Amino acid sequence: MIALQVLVSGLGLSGYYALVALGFSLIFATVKVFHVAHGTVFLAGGYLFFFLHRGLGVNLLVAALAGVAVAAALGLLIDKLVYLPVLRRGGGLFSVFIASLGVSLVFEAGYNLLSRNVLQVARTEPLTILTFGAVAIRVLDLFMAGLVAVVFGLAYLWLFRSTAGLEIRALTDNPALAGVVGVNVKRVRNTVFLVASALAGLAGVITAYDTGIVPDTGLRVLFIAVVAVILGGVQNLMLGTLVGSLCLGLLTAFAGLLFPPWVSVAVFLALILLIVVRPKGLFAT
Amino acid sequence: MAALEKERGELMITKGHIAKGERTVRNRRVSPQLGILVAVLFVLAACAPAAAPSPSAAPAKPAGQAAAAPASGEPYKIGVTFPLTGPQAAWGTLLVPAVEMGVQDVNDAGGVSGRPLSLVVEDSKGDPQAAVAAMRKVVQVDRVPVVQTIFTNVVTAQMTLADQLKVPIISTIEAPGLTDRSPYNFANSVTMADVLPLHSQHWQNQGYMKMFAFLPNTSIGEIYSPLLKGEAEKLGIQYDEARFKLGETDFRGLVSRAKDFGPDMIITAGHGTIDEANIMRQARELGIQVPLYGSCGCITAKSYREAMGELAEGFTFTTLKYDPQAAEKFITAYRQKMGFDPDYAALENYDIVFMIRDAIARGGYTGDGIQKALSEIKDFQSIGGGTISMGPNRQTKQTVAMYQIRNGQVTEIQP
Repeated sequence: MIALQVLVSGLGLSGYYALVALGFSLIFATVKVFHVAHGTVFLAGGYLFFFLHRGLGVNLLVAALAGVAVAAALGLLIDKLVYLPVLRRGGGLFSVFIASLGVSLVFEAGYNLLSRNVLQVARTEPLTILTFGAVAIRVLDLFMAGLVAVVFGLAYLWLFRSTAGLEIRALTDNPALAGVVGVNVKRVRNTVFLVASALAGLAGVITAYDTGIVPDTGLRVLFIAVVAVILGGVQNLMLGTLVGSLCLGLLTAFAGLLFPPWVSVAVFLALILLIVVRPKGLFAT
Repeated sequence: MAALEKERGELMITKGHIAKGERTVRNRRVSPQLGILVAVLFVLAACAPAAAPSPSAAPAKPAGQAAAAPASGEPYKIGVTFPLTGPQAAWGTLLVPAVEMGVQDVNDAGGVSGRPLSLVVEDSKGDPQAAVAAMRKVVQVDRVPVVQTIFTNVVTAQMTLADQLKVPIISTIEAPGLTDRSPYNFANSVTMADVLPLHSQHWQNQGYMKMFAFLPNTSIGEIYSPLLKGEAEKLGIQYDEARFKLGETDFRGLVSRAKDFGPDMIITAGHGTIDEANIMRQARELGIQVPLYGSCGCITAKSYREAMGELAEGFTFTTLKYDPQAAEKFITAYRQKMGFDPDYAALENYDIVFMIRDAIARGGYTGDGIQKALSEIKDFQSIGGGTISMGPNRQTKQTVAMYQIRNGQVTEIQP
C-alpha cells in the first residue's frame, strides 16, 4: 500500500517537473541555449506570488497570474539583455551558458537577501485530501494532473497544428534554413521565451503554494527537469518531456521514501546511466 | 550623552534607542568646557576602588525600570552568533530583539559599573562552519570575551573553539550532555532530559503502542534519537524514525514511511524550524491523523505557529514553565517592539543578557573571569519568575510543563 501512496506522490511531483521541463525543452530545442536561469524564472513567479498572496493578502488567482506574468517577462528580459548581447558580440553557446549561470547566481543571492533563506510557503490552510482506502490523494495533485494535461494538450495543438508551431519546429530542426525560408526567427525566439518562462513561473507559483520555496529550489527543480528532458530525448518536445518528467517524479518520490538524503544522488545516477545506455534519450528523433 | 557611532553588525545604544544595521552617526555639539568636565569625571571614576565581586545572588532585574543613571562610556561587548539567514533564521529574527531588549534594560539601569553593554552580532547561518567563522570574527577581531549563541548543531561546533580561545559561550540549547563536554560551554534552557519524563508519562497514559519521530540530520538528531528510542523501549512502544534535511521542502517520501509504519502518534524533535511544521502539515495531507507532539515550545514562536496554521489545534509540547504575570513587563515591551508576544526562547535569551551582566560585574571582563562567574550563578532572578542556578555541568535547571493547543490557546495540561 505504501508503494501506491508513493506512486501517487510521484505522479504529483512529475507535474511540476513537466511544466518546467517543457519550457526548458522549448528553449533548448529551438535556440540551443542551456537556460540555467530557467530556475530563476521559476522562483521569480513563486516569490512574487508568496509576497502578494501571503504577504499582502491579494486574491490567490490574481497573485498567481501576476507571478506567471512577471516570470514570463523576466525570462524574455534575460534573453534580450543577457543572451542576445553575448551572441551579438561573438560569444558562442558556451558563453551564453556561463552568462545564464551568472544570472542564476545573482538572482539566487538576491532571493537569499530577500528571504534570508527561510522557507516561504504561500498558504497556512491545509490542502483538501481524498482518501481511497490507505491512499490519500491531495486535490492539488489532481488539479496539477489536469493542468498538465491541458498545458500539454494546448502545447501540442500550438506546436503541431498552427503556423507558429510549424515555425518553432522549423527552428528546432534547422535554425539557419528556417531563417532563409522566411521564418521570423526573432519573433519565434521571443514567443518561445515568453511561453517557456510563463510555464516555469506557473510551476513556481504552485510550488510556493504547495511545499514552499527557498532560494535553491529553482536550481533543484531545474536540474531534475533537465534530466527529464534528456531522458525523454532533447528534440522530442512533447512525449519525451512528459514521459521523462513522469519517470523523474516517480524516481524522486521513491528515493525520498527509501533513502531521503540521497535523492539528488539518485537523480545523478539516473542521468549517468542514461548517458551510458541511451544518450539520445528514450524517444530520440 | 555622547552619541555613539554604529558600525556594521554592531548594535549600540543612542539615548534609549536601539538601532541596528546601517551606519548612523548622531552628532551632537558638546561644548569644550562640558567635555573637560566629563573627562575629569571619567578619570575620577576610573580611580575609584572597584566593588569586591560577590558570588551571591544576583541583584533584582530592572525589567524595564530605569532605577539608575543610564550607562555611558566604553561598552562591554557581547558577541552574538545567531542565524540571520538560513533555515533557522526565523528564530534569529525573533530572538535578536529579545537580546537587544536585555541590553537596553541593562544599560538603562546603569549597565555594568556604569558602563554599557553592546552587542556584536554575526550571522551563524545555523550552519556549524559558518558559526565557527562568526565566532572567530567576534572573538578575534571584535575582542569579545563572551558569546551568546544558539542551536545544538552550532554549539557542537563552537564549543571546541570556545575551549581553545578560552571564551565562554552561553546558549539555550536543549540537547542534554553538551555542556558536560566543555568547561566553556553554558546553557540556560530546559533540555530533552528535563521534558522526556513528562512525555513518557503522557504517552503511557494515552496507551500509545507505536511512535514515529522526525529528527533533523544534524547533531541534535544524533543526540535525541537514542533518548527517544530508549524511552519508547522502556514503555514497550514500537519506535521508528526518519531524519530530514534542513531546508528541504518536500517531505512526502519521509512522511510516507511514517504512514507505512502506522504510528499512534508522531513527534518532531529538532531545532524548531519551519521544516518541522511543514512535515506535520504534509503528514496530515497524506492522511495521517494521529496526535502530533513537539519536544520544545517552538510553537510559541510566531513563525512556527503561522506555518502550522490550523494544524496547531491539539498539538502537545513541553517547554519552560514561566509566570506570565512576573514576565508581564517583558512581554508587553516585546509586544510593543515586535507586534506579537514573545516565545519561551526569548525569555531565556533575555535572561542570558543579565547573566552575562552579572558575570562581568563579578568576574571581570575576561573570558576566564566570565566563565568562573557564570559557573557560580546561584538564585538568579529570572524574568519569567522564580530563580535559576547554574548546575555543576554548566546547565541551568528550570521548571518545565506540558502544554496543548486548545481552541487556539496554549493550555497547560497534566501528563
